Amino acid sequence: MAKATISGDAVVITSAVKLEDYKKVKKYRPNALVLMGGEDGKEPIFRVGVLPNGAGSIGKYGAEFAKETRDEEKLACITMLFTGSSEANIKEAVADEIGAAVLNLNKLELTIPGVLEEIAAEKAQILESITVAQ
Amino acid sequence: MIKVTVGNNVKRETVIVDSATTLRQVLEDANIDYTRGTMHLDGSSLNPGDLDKTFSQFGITEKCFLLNVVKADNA
Repeated sequence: MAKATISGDAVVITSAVKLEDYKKVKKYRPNALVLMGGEDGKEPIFRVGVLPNGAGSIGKYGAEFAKETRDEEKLACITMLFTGSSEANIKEAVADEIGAAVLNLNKLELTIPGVLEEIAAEKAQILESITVAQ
Repeated sequence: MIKVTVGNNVKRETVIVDSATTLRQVLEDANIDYTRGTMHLDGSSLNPGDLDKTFSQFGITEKCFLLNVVKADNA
């Protein structure tokens, strides 16, 4: 489950998924990074992307990750500045701003482990079929 | 992420793309023929070279319409 950490004016959203794993899914199963919804369940409502650089961003239609946490877990994270609010309760303000997006991110994160297993199984199958001539 | 409504006179679809995606990539993924007619981004005509620019280069941050409009000649 994604979580947000507030420090001064900075808000860091940390995903439960590693940046490397998002990159892998983007390469092999890009559609798995799209959350579908709408009336018929066929309309894209949220997407996770991976950028080569920058601090990333999260908004109504998706989250873009470019960095990972500096610990051993290497989870994907987004750092954003939150300067517009003068509300005393900063947690409420942040929840109002990005709450809906984080909920959608959580839904998508739940599907990623299964997708990674599928990718690993397919890759293992492909590796088995490759031989190196002596 | 940007919600893009992409299409032409007869079909439209909605996709969500990252801000570093070019207009051309979105059109090609959606199988929209952009060799005829006029390309419009949020109602404004695009110029040669614009298709290889990214949405962020156009200042698009949340949503937009990317449409190819073919006007038939009057008989």
